Amino acid sequence: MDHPSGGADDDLALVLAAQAGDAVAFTELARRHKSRVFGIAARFARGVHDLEDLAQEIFLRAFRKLGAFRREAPFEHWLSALAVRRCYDHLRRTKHTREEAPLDAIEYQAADESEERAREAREAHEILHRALRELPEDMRLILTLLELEDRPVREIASLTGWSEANVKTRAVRARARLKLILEAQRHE
Amino acid sequence: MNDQGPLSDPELDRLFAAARRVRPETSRAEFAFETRLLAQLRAGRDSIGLWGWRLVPWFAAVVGLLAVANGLGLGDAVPMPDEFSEWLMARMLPVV
Repeated sequence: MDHPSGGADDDLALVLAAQAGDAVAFTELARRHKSRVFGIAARFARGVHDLEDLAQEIFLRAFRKLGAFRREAPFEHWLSALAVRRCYDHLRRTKHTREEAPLDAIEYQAADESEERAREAREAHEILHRALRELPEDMRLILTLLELEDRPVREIASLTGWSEANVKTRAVRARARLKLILEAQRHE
Repeated sequence: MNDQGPLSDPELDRLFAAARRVRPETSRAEFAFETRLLAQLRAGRDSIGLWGWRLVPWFAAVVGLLAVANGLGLGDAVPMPDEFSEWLMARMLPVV
């Protein structure tokens, strides 16, 4: 089956085809939105292989759950919410396994043209990444979405299914806990 | 990062602001992802069909056993639901 290669307007036609069981239509949706899903999953995956598995799990679940998509919001938002919830499950599932630097660690690229600013950004990312790993999963999720992804509270509430007040409360507690962890780490 | 004293909120904000300037590089993992996904979707669908076919002999065996049981008159040993109360009364009354 041929599928249109246009923009977001064509998502609906692809969604309807995928809901009818058209796997090719669904993979076209995946092609369009994979960067968004990989971007979210990369924040919580433990390496490139883990990222690939997590992204695949998200899309396979999306395909199975597509019947529940009610078109109240754009498909990409529904998919992002599903990705965030799967990433949260992934964090909880793997919380007892010790997180060490994987051989296939995900690379982070700095947008800065100045080498010094790029180095500073990479160092800040390293420090925060190490500290965030020590946080409970919900706090890690909130701070990653709020402070690293720079998403508004309302969007985070919509993605996680938590109320805005709940997101704000968790964020305040998470920052306080993160500060303690960072202080402890810099005295090590 | 400042190495002295407790970490202040502006310091933490500066750290976050600096970390926001790096983004995960996922293009390598994304490469040909949809091709792998399609293979997975088709494999999943095939496996459901395969399991359906694998269960056919078992269903056939169950139907065969029921037919044999019926043929031997074993079907009368256990009454149908609508006859159950009569069957129960007939067996319970002598005991009472």
